[in-house]
Amino acid sequence: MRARVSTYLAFFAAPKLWLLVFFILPMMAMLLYSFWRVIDYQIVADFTLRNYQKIGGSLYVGVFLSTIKLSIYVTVLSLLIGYPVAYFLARKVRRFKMTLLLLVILPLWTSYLVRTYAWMLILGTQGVVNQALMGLGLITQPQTWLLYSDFAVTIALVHIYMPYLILPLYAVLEKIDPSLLEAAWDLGGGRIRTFLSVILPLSLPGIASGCLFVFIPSMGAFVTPELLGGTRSIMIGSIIAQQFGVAFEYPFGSALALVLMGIIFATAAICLRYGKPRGAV
Amino acid sequence: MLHYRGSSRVMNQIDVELQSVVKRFGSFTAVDGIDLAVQCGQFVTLLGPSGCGKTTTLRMIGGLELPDSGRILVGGEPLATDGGASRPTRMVFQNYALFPHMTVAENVAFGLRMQKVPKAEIETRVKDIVALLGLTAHIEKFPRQMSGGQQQRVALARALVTRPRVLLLDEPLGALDLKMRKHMQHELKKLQREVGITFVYVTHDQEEAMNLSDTIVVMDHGLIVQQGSAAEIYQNPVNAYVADFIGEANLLSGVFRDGAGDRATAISPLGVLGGRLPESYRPSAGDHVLFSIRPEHVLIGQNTASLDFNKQGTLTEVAYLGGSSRLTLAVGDTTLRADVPGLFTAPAGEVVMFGWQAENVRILRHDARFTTPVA
Repeated sequence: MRARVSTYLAFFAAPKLWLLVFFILPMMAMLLYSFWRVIDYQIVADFTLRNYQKIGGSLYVGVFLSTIKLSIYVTVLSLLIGYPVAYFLARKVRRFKMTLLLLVILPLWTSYLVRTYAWMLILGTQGVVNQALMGLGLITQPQTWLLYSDFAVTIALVHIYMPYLILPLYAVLEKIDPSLLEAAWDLGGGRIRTFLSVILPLSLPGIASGCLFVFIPSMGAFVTPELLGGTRSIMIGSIIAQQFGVAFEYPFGSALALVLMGIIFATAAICLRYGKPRGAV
Repeated sequence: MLHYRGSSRVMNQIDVELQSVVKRFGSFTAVDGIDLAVQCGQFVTLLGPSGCGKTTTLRMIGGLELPDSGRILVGGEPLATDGGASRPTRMVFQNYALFPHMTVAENVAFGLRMQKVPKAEIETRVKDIVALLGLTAHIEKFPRQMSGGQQQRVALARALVTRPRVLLLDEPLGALDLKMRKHMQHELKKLQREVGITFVYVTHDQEEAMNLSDTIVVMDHGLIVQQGSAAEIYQNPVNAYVADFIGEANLLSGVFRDGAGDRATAISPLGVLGGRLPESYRPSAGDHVLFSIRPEHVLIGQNTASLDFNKQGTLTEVAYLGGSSRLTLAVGDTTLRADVPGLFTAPAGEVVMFGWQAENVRILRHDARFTTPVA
């Protein structure tokens, strides 16, 4: 009996403890911090709404909006590129399927930072793109908008997060019963109509979760915008990181992080609510 | 009343024709050169065990597989290979293949939308077919909210609403429980009479085939072994495979002695037996043959004395099946099954007289798959 209780604890209580220590407690701490303030480099525990009022100002609302906009670009681009890849892998490839899937996953094993730096080498004024264009005589001066811009951040984030979109989409597309496509063909459905009225709606759950897997980390990205965005492309993640770093504004940083989380939760809720195919139990 | 393409045509016209059709998958020959002509308005069943080529044949008629050689004509015209909404056949799939994200109405309307039928007409045609199949109450439901039998009817409605010339059905009742299957068999037959179009049906269930079909096409190893009505096939199987597959048969090994016309005699473990030969089989003396005797033709009791053949045997098993009793008899090394009407009261172990008329014995080509040890 005793053994059974300890087994129970190990199996069921341990994960809960883990969640409590590493997730719930830090969250509670953040929540508390967000209502405190800093006076003379000391965090003072007096209740104030000033941090949240500050976020309501046009500066931070603007950063939030541009972060959302950029994350939507990243998500949409990832979907436009990732859907055909997932579709191809799931429904067209027979041989080398595992190898190709591995190639999709492979970049995930490279450090996030390395991949970001790689884009600096590609897009910089001395980078591959500028050198090549100048070598071809298409431009006379290095194009500076390539790096330190929304463009650079978007491209890098698409590259970094797209595998997270391809994998769930692949899983959903592969599960679609081939006899449904045969039935659509039998009833006279051409390729495009079969795709639009059968495959696309049935892959909706994959689209929803894949998009979330790209949108959420993009919203929170801070290293990539920091390195590739320069001063022209500022995302909320970088600002939050600054609050916990040089600015030493834990309370304001906590408030920003909580607002960001609120936006993410709301997006996730909407995606999961509308990302179900019709007729699902 | 519903109007189906071709429903006004003469009934003895050929709707589906296969000419030396071959289909291979890699090194496996699924269909090994078959010829088949299906008359307009018939219920034809392709029957055989899994791997006999029946489903491949059906899928080729439906255009879902292309033959490696040979020709397929539907309505006298070669089958178009490019699909398209105007194809003359529609398929009812084994797992129904209903679109899970569409309601019954949307599923049924799918083919009509692909044919670009005007909206108002789609609505009335969907309503009519749904009513015909008794689904009106479920029209707004999704497939997952329905029972297997209901889903089956939706699949039928979805195919029939497009008014195909030929309806192809791939083991459509396979996933249903026995009671539902019996019920749907009855409904299918009724439906086929109502819509009057050609049904080509695939099953491995001989009882289902006998129940439904105007013509049964028995297939084995990619070939058509025999075709005809249920009665023809049951009464005059061309070989042991058909005798064994359609209904039950006691198959005994033997050696051919002599024959005149379709009357013949051969030596069996039970002695010399008279029987009849199928039209296509004329063995010569000394050939190995198989006797086929249906269990209901094995008679038991004192009155067997006047039969063409009679002998004593030991009852080893008696099972009461309701309408009849199934007896198992041992005669030397030979085991025989016999069906007698009603409740049979003698216990196992008793020695009984049994016998049969030579009229009911078939002498068939030897087939190693059905050989019983010769005593």
